[in-house]
Amino acid sequence: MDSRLLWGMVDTLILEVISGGPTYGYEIAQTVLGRSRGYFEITEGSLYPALHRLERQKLLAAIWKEADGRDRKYYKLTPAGKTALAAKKREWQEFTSGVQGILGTANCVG
Amino acid sequence: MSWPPDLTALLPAPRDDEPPELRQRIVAELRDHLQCAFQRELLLSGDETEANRRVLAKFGDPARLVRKLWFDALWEKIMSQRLMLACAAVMAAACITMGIVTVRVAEQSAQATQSLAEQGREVNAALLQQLDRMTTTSESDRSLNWIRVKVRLVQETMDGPPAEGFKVRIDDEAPNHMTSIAEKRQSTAEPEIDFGLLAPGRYNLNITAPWGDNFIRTFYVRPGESPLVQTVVCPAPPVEGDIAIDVTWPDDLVNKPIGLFCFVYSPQRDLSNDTWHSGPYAKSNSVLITSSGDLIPGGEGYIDDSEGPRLRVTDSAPLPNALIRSTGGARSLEVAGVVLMSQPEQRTETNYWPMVLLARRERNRNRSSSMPVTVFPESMIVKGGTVNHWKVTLSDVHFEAIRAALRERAEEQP
Repeated sequence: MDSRLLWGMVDTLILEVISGGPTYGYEIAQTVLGRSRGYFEITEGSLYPALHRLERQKLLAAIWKEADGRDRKYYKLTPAGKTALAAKKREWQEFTSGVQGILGTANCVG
Repeated sequence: MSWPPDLTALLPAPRDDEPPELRQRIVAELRDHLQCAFQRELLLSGDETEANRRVLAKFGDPARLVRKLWFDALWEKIMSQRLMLACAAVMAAACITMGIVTVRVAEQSAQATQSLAEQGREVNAALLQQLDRMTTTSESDRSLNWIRVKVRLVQETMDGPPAEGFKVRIDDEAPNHMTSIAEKRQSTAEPEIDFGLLAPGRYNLNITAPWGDNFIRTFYVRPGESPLVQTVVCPAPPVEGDIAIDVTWPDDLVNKPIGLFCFVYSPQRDLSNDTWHSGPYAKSNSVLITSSGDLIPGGEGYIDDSEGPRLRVTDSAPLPNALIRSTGGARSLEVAGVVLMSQPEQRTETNYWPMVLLARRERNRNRSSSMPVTVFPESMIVKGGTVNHWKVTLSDVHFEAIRAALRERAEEQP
């Protein structure tokens, strides 16, 4: 797919994955890849800068836990993150509804 | 090869304001991610080398990512520091600029001040030059119009020595006929007294001798006569001398109680066409010359009394040796009349009125005499340190008048 289409959706996808419960970076990437059936693949170069940015914006909170004999950083949504996720979902639904309205009408005419 | 690679070595050098756990946590998170990815690829490939290759191929450049995360974490501080550095640099530049501007302004101000000072000096110099010109002009004008006046005092003759100790005063007779300024000097051994520049006009020259004789001359200062020298012949200092007066009486009158009522006074004296007047120290001496040859001094005598000549005798004692002590210089003897003497004990404080009037001075100071008396010498100069002999000669006309007066008085007696 065109990476520019994914660029504006990375934060929304991350927040959505984390909304299911505390998780860590590698799992987030694998979840996005799995849920999109291999369509969305977030590279590490995009994933971790986005996670850290959302953490600085107080939309995510970090928790360090020991796993497999090493420290692992888990992320969870903050109340502000939940609110932001809801807003982004609403915007996306409005966007897709608009796009679908256009694209669906075009298909009917065609 | 070691797995996962040492990410700590890929980070930049630590900063002083860096949180202590920042780089450790960045490295730990990425190491966990690589470990997870390696385990998954190892399961898929079964070969560690292939697993490592696939993980790194997908992960990309670890150094780039770890640096980006580190920089993003410190971005605010770095930018804040850079902003502060930039502000400091701007402030420093502004300060330097201000300093330069201040220096330039100070230099310009100093130049302006110096320029103003130079202009001020030039203006002052011009004013001083103008003032000098004005002063010079005034002096020249004064020199043209004002006259230097000097007074030359000599003694007795025009070629005499300088007259010292005389008080000299020049009064400016103003146009409104009121005497204004007076320049006062005192003569010294120098023959001339410089009174400086005087404006044209009419002046009075007043000179007073140390013994009181005085002199007044009016002179004019006219343009073009500079210097104007006023030469005045002054009298010599007086000395005292004795006067003996000789009167020749006829025999029939010698023993009569009669006397000549005389005044010895200091007349005005002309010296080189200038008239000197007697001062207060050259009082007139009144004297009664008896027929027996005594000289009885009078206290106060009035030759111009409204009732005629009068003599107030205050000392009945005759003068010793019949000599009159007088200050030197010109003197005159005026025989006013013949009086009838009273008794000696009655002479004190006696007023005498002449029974024979020989001379009379009216209020207008014109002397009149119906019977003039000859006095010798006519020019009576009292010489100091000697006896000056004067002689009074009465004529027969005088004697007849005296005899008639005596007879008249005798007839009046009871």
